[in-house]
Amino acid sequence: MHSSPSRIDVIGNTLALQWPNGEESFIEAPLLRTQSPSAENKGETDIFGQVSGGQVKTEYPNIKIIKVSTIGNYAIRILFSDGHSTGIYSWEYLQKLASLSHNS
Amino acid sequence: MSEQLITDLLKQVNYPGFSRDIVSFGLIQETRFEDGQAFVKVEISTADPTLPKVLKGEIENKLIQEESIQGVDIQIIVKKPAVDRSTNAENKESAVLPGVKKIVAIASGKGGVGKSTMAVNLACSIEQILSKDSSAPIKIGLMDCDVYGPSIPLLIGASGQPKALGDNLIAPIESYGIKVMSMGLLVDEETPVVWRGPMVMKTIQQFAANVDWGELDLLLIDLPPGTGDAQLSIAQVMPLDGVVIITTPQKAAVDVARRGARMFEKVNVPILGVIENMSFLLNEESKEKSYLFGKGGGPMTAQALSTAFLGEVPLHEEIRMGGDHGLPIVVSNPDHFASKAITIVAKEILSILN
Repeated sequence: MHSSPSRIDVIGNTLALQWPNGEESFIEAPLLRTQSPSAENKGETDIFGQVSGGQVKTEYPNIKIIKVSTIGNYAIRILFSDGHSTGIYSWEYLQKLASLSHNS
Repeated sequence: MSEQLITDLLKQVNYPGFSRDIVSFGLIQETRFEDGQAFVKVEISTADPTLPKVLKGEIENKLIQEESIQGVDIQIIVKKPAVDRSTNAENKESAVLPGVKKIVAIASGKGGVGKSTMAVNLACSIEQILSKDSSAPIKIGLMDCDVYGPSIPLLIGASGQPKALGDNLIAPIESYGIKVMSMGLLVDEETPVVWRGPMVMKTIQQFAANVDWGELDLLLIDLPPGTGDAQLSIAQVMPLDGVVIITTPQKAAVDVARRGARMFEKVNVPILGVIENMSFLLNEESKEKSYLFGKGGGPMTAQALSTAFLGEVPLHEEIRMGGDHGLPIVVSNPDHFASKAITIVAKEILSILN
């Protein structure tokens, strides 16, 4: 079990999360958009491991977060300014993205 | 003294509740410094009515400390928040089923392990247990999410067309005090439900949003076997308080039960425990137990999932007959040893939930 964040906020254009242990994660909208886990973005894998579909565009410098809603106990869905909204970001995935954004 | 200094000072002001400063968050729209007067324009989006004031105060305090600043003018623009009110993690109240205190799903990997029969008996048993200790009436709901093969109406003796209560709301059917909603109440027995996944999702969303569940102490959700559309929809649509895994003792059931349970770990739903169904067949004359499906599969599953073993329920003709007649054994014959076994499981679930 991955614990749910105690606070979810969009501050400016950054997704700000606070975890029950006091840690914080900050992820900028462009990274969230680029890394959207949706099949619409990443494509779909068949039984041979071949990926089909997905989006070619990888840079979204001016993207904005329009809306964030929770999905059950485990994730959020984000609506972006380009209309993309099919990505479901689990707590686990968000922590991974936050560590990516720290390292860059 | 320049605007840069103002920015440097603002970099020392954190966004309330977080350890990152307001400049890094990109909230500063404009800064000016003229004749000892500092002007700062900040744009935030929040639903918290106190936050703008708090932030304004913190900025003022920071700027006033600087000698060369004689006056400050802070303008805070507040926009509508992007985060849904229901997303507020502190607000545990679910926006989907506001009157429902607890939601527990009943799942398995393999089919035919007795999920629906157990769901019906657990619902009735929990109702009996809670009613004993409560002066207020206890209300339990049972949502049948097996849209392709709904069996709850038969097992609990619920029949009749759910009444429409206005355009977008239907009433559940009550049986033995349990509020029931099932695809089986909406289409007749001879009509197959031939649907692709998205329709399953839609139905489950409507079972949550468009059924008048009212105030419930507990909503039990009977799932079809496996880890498909129904399970994923439930995990996404409502904040489950937990899931109970049912398995029979044999390897063919136990192996898939673990796989089914792992799905709930992935979607952050606590696994309350494992029930072993059809544990043995008792010869009531010789008192000899036959372990038709082997022994120990339930406890093994619980151990593998690091969760509680909730108990074993025997295979018994009377349980099956109760189902066929829509009269659950815990209601018709509460002193039967099978009923007692189910009651033990029900009590375990309640104590883990609390």
